[in-house]
Amino acid sequence: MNRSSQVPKELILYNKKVPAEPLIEIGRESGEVAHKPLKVKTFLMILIMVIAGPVGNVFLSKGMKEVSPLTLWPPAQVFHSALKIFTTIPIWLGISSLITFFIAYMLVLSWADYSYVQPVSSVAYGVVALLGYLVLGEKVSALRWAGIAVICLGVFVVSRTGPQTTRRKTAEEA
Amino acid sequence: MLVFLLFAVIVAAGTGGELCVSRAMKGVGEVESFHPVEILKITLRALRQPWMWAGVAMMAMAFFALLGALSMYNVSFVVPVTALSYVAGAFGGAAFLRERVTFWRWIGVLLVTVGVTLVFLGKS
Repeated sequence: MNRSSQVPKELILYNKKVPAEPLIEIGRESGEVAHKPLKVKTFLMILIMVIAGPVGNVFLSKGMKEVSPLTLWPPAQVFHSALKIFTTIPIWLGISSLITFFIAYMLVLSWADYSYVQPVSSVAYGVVALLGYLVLGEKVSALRWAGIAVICLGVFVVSRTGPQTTRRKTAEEA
Repeated sequence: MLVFLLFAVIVAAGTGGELCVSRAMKGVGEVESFHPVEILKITLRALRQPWMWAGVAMMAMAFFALLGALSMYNVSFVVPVTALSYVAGAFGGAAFLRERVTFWRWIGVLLVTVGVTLVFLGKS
């Protein structure tokens, strides 16, 4: 006998029989209700991503500059080089930062589209150039800053398409 | 030649890895709570997804290629070049994850790519 096809007339609750009420579905399907918290949650996660990611990359760059030049040949040198890399403090700071980035990234990917998250998080390119310029003293040309501005424009365009379009039938292209 | 190889690995393994991880996380379901116990449960559930392991392996490959590139070039050059993965990402999201990429999202991705190209050309 298929139990799941039966609809119970009454339920047993704390040893008392109560009449069964039809379940009312709230949220998800009614759009607006679920949409706002979803956007706030997405924004917070992306904020963590675009700070922790670039900070991690800058630390890695600093660490790798400290240990270079590295030799990878003969193969025994690979072990020696790896040992040198993983005993450098900035490398570990960079890895911790990137793990923070990765956790935020995984969490956001559990509800938002990859093709939305990836372009939006590209604001990190601006942050990386800024940190490279301020912290590592890298020269950033006018053309490169212009490129960063175009990236931010692209980010703006993408962020107007909403975080979750796959499951809806109509696009919300405002 | 080594430069092209490094960037090819960063972009291909990086994007492939992210797509695998994204697919695994879709299998885990939407994260509703940020309570530490819930996060631990979700982590354990995520680790049971084969796609997660494939993704992590590819991302590790990309990470070592990134370390190699960073040992030779400026971070403000290396990181923008890795943005070539935007093209791969949008196509991959549409084909591999069956995500519906809207017209404006494609425009945004295109703008980001143009911007990244300018950053690359502005190498001082």
